[in-house]
Amino acid sequence: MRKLIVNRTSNSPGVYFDPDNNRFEISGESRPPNVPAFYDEIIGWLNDFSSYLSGSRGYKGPVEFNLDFNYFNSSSAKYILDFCKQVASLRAKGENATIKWHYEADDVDMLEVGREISRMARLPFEYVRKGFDGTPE
Amino acid sequence: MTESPGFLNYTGPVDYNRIDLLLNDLKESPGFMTINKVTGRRVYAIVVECLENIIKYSAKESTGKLNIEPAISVIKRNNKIIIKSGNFVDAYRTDKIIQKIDEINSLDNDALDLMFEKQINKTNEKNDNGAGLGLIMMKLKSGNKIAFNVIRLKEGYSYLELTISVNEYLP
Repeated sequence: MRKLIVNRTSNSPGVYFDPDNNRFEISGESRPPNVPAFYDEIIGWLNDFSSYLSGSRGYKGPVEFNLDFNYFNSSSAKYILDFCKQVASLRAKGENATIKWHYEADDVDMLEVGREISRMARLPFEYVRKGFDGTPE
Repeated sequence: MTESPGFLNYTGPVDYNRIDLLLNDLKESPGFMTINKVTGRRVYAIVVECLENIIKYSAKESTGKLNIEPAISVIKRNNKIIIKSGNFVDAYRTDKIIQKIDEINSLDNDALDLMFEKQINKTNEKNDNGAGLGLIMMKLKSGNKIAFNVIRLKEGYSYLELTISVNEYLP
């Protein structure tokens, strides 16, 4: 299964999906100029990964997606929800896939929007509260 | 009435590179550094939506007769942060935007949450300029109605000015 690595920029998050090292992470600020194109690549990769998991002979889960945004615009919100729905469908197929939703300790809005996305995607998230140095508390 | 300058004040063309520069200016402004982080994040989010709306919905005024540039400003007045943005819009689009703002302004937070949920779950449409969520988010994050002013111009254009007042977050 191929990796998907996209470097972080001032307006788009870094993406690090690496099944070989069991690391799955999106982090940073999400307001890319072309939101559909940016997230279509991610969701396309997740579709491929879903097929890979269902046909895989050797992959050992669990698969833990870490979503660590410090900001995303309203257009990105729609695609982030789509991504979480896809992860929910992975779980529905019996895969041990989860989402960890990271938020800064004082970012009440990021925690709240995480809860809303979790509810709409029908997928329980694990919430990771970060200290002011960016590391989990 | 007390007014603190020093957040953001820009008039000129807007593209994605300019948005990056303006957001850096906002974050580094003396005014921004004095407000609490929650309020700051909300202001930042609304400024992003305003600037992206300028790119997505600005009319391409080609006659050169209407010498008015897009503009954005952020100031603090009393306990509110006031974000004001303005740009040309095609006249045919103006009424749709106004109708949407009026609808959003008429809803309480519960109804607005439902509207947000309905909108975010809509299937993405090709050539859709945005998710249609920006104006809803502006009201939810600011805690206030979106004020607007429309100047009808000749040649099929309007100048649309939005004003969003953000309440300071009290922990």
